[in-house]
Amino acid sequence: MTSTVNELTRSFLASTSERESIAVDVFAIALLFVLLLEWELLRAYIGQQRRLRLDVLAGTVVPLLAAFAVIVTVRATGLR
Amino acid sequence: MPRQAGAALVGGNRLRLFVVAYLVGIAVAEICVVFVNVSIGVLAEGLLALASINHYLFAGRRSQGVEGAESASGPLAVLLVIPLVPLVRILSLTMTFEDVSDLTQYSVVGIPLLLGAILTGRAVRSRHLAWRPVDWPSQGLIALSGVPLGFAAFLVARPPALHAGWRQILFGTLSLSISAALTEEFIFRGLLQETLSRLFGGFALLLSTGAFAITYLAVRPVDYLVLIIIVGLLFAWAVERTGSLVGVVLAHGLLNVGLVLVWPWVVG
Repeated sequence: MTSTVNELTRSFLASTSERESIAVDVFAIALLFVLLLEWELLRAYIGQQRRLRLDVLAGTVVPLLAAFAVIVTVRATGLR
Repeated sequence: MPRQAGAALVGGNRLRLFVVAYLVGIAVAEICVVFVNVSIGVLAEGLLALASINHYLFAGRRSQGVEGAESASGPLAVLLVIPLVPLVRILSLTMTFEDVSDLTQYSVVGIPLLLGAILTGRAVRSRHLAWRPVDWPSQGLIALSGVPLGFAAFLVARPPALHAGWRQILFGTLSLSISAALTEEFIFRGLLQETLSRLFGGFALLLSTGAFAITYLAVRPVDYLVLIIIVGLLFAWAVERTGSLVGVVLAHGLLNVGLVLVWPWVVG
């Protein structure tokens, strides 16, 4: 009954095909990968512009890292 | 890219247009997730999040010569907050798994999301992260509105009573209050409304409530979505008037706890 856990998540877990479930996980990991890549590129750029701030990416990267940890754990233990 | 092109991404009206386009795009992607195809919708939401972040990184540097300090506290900050809306859906679909109760799922998804919101709040220098004295009489009244709103939500949704021990009820109360209520209020009223208001003024209430409602598109019955829109508008107005999140966070917590734990048990 919240925006995070509702009928969509329940039906997704109950009836979605393995292929679609894997696709969603892959998209999330790909987004994390691209953001981490950008983070590294920006870090290199900092050498030239010291005032550039990296923490603008942290708000998106940190939750996706948690998602990555859960995806790997759930897949490895067969919980999904 | 030429400086003119960079300026085109930043100028007031153009930035407003881009922000509305991102929000409409997220709404379309969310409709796709719920009614058409989950993976295509999630892909679209991820791309929109990425586009918004890169828009900020590019436009912030172009407009002010320095990316970071000035742009993060200015109108461009909304571009860092918008990705939190797609993140709600991406995390809710990738971090939930079977054989775990909903009460636990709220925390599994909500806590990383809250952490992301706090980090974004620090980056955009949200005033809601700064310590300020609380006007308890007004905030208390706002908080108490969560009791009748929770009852109204129960009458609309009629969830089944949970047969749980006191430990589960205690955990559920914390989970629904912190992981669900605090996270949602901080993202939609705290960050999104605050940064949208730097660009749109009072119209930010409607935009933030629209974004809040769209994440509830999947809830059933559909009447519950109407209630969510009313609650979203009330909470947005309360935050706009008082400048504090305390009352609406408590009210949202009371609404959630009443809806899931209390009213089904009391009324049956």
